[in-house]
Amino acid sequence: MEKIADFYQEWLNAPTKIMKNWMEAGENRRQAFQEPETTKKAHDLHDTWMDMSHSWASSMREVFDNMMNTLPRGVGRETLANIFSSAETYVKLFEFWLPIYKSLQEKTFDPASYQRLLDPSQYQEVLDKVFDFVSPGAAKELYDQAIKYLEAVTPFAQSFSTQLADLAQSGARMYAGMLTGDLGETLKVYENILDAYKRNLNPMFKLPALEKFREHVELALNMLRKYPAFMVRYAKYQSLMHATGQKTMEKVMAQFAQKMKDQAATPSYDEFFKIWAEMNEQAYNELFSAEAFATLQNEVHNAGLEIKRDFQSLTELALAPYPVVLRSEMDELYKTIHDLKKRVHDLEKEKKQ
Amino acid sequence: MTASARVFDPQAQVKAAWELSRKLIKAYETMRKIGAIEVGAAAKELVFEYDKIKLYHYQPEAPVTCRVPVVIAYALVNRPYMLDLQPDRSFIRRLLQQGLDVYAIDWGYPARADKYLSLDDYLNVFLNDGVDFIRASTKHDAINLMGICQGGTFSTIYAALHPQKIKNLITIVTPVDFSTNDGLLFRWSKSMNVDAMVDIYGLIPGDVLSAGYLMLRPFMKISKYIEVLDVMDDREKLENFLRMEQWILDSPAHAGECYRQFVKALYQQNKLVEGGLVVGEQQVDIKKITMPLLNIYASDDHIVPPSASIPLNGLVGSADKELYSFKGGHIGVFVSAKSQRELAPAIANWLHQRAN
Repeated sequence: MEKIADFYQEWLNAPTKIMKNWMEAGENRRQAFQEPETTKKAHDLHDTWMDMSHSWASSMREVFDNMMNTLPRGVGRETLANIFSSAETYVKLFEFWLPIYKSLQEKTFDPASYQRLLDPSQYQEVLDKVFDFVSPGAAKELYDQAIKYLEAVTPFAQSFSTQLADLAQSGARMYAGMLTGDLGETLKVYENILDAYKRNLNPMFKLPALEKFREHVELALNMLRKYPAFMVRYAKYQSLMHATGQKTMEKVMAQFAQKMKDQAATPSYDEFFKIWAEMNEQAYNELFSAEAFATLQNEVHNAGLEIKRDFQSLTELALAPYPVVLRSEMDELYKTIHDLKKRVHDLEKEKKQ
Repeated sequence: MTASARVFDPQAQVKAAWELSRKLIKAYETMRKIGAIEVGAAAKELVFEYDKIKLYHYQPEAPVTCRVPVVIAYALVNRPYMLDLQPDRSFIRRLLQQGLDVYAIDWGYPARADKYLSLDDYLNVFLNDGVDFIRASTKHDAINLMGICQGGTFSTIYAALHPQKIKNLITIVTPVDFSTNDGLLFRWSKSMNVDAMVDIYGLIPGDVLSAGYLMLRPFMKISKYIEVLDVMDDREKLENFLRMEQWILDSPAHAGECYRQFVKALYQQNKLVEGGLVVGEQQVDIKKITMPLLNIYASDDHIVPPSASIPLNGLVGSADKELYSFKGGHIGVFVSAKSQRELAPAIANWLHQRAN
């Protein structure tokens, strides 16, 4: 019980601190709004508010993660996780709603002025949350795992740790490059490093004692070679989703401006959220319905599957010397059992008849 | 967050943010107290099982007036308790109350060892054994078959393969003509590399399948979870919500071979309509469906669009066939008040008229 009480206290304390900061920022903002202000000042205040909001989200996330551990697995826990994730999106979007207040107060609201305040990279975070996009951290994880694997199974890979580290670094750079649209250049750098690494390894394989590791290394390198193919498509996919989101936000603003003209009372944030959700739903449905989207989505999916296939092969190779049953061996067994079951079933049926 | 003042009011904003935090705390507190969620309201008995497949017989809730039993075949991708969520939202109870004798097949949760189960296994072994059991135990040469969603496609194929065993066929929100591009799943599946997917996964995980469904309406999902924060004090409403959540989250894996065949032969090649579908060693000829057919589709279905369901009536060889349009969505067909009030009685009435 004590533990639960502590959690409650933590829950209550964390947001309270943040709310206090928000109050101060809000008061500053109110004063700024009452005075003639420059665009810069509005930007600064907006940024302050964004920081506060980030604090709220990260603080609540930390507390939330602790509390989730106290809930048993099941529908309640899963639902709560979904609720919290949605609340984060809701709060994140609130940051974009705030600049509208200024325009409301000054009665100068128009979509164009809002666009000046909208930071695309910040808005991408909202979309990333909605679509659960993989973070750059996941890319690093793949490289780290591949490197650890090579180090574990091959006695000489450690001597190439510099090249491997370069490979990991270039992978991370490549990811960032792709998101900014510099696909060709980043891929070239990556391919060069991968080729150099392979060239350096080739003489080693001529030694009979190391020949047996060739397959491991080639498979691992092959997998790393497939990674850019996946990332190129994934970056394209993300970029398409982000572009749709940005464009829809402009339309949301236009519709909201119209709503402002049509009704006397200022629309609430909830109304804004509703319009945002509905218009995005429609816009993404149109995007998803396009043939080109289906093709791209399948390309991303297939490229991801190829990496998964190599991982499975690598795992089998690594486990092969040990006295464990491999996945492929189990699959053969499953096939035999399936066929036998069918045969017994048919014979029993025949006997009954 | 409601802040509708013309003048910027920081206090109101802070209060609104605080309110959201309070609601989240309340949500945690409620989830902690609420415990396990019960689903299933109708009493039932396990009467037959083979491998992971179970056949349940529901206990009557009214005198059985339609003597020919009806067996329900649900989809593989979700669990059949959608049809029997709670006492006041139970499609099955409504059917029982209308005097039907109801059986339902539960396909279970395939494990990795089941990766080689094919369409042939599901139709000519599992479904066929269930149908034969009911035919033998109730002494009817032919029984009524009600297929739902993917289970409806299974039922259609089964009725074409074994027409002598089916007295009446009812299909509900059933995809038959996969050439349509009205639904996103239909469009996306056409260029999908299903061979790679099955070869690599073996058993297609439930969460991979669920991700596809959730992607259909990503923003409505967020709205749904924000809105539910307002019912945390209303235990009844919250439990209703959680029952539905439980069903959504409870997504069994799909046997790889069956998935491969279903996607390739149907979604990609539309063989049920175009011809050439082979199950086991048998050619499927949809014209061999000559028994009475009741084909029910939902007008606002975003998972199985009407254009995938409606053509069935023009493809079968039945002289007695009826198309029923239900105003609602894919799930509303079973859980909405309208469904309980109108659809279940309409089905029971249709079957009663064809009981002899």
